[in-house]
Amino acid sequence: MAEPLTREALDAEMVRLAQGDRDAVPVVYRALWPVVVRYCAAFVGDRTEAEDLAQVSLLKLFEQAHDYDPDKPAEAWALTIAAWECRTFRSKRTRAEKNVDKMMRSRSQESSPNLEHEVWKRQAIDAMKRLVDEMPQVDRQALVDSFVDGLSEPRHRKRKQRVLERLRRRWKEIHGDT
Amino acid sequence: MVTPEVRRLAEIERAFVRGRLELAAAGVLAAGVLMFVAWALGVEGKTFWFGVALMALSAASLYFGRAPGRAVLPAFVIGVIPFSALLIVQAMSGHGCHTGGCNTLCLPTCVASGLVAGALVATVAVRVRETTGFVVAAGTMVWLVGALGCPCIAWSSVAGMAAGIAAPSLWVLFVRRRQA
Repeated sequence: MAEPLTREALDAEMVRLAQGDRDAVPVVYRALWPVVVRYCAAFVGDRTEAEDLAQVSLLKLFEQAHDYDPDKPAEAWALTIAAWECRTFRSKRTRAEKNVDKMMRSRSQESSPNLEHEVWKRQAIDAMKRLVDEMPQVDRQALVDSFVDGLSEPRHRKRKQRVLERLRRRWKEIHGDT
Repeated sequence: MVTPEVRRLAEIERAFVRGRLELAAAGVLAAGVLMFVAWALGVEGKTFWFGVALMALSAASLYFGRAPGRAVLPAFVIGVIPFSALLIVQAMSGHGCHTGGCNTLCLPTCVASGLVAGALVATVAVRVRETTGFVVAAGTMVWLVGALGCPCIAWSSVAGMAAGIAAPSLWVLFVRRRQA
């Protein structure tokens, strides 16, 4: 493995790079990669994300290499770009987390009561169906008749009332006052 | 098998090339601006071949960098001297061409402004300890910028300007070589 570059040597290589010397690309890259990855890892706390951020930072650095100021240390310049990338990444992540959180909260607020109500309604209907099934055939017929047009004579109304009364009582026995 | 490091390095090299191409595009743009100014001030169409050559040379110098790359900015700045001098002379004295040459102050202006520009190139080269590559590239680009200001291609004027630029620049190179 190659010897790590001193700061002065790295600065000299960076000057070569800034002047368009393509041979300096791998040298500068190998010198800066571990430094930038370590810095990004300390910033975001995740090695994989740190490597991605280091790559993005170095892509920017090499694209703007001609703007390098030879009076400033190359490592500091690289870390400035990396810090900017890390901060942008962190704020994007925080914003995304907030958005997801907000979306989940609003969705649960909107949909949860409807869902509960729907479940409760379905359970109530099933329970009622079971109760109706348990009723004697005569009472079931009386209930059906009461919903048919033309059977609104007093005796029908009275029978329906009695059936519903029994049904209500039975419901209370099983489910209470709900 | 391509390792992640090789892949990353390839991407980095592409980014570097992209940066150099953007820089070269800036050179083309600067030459384009000068061509537009020359065209707006009534310079003859054939002169634009100097502009095309300037575009190509500045783009290549900026892309490949090193000494010629460093020469582009000073060359454009210094080149404005003969460029504007020719346009001013043309505006003040008028210009007329006939068989055999131009009857204006073109030639003396070209030589004089070329000498000034050449002296400035030499001064910059000495100040920033530049090499032959810098002087040659800067001198050529200064000449091309200056020639863009020629109202018509009078070869004697253009050649006079080249001689004016070359004299002090080559003198500096000669002296430095002897000192070394």
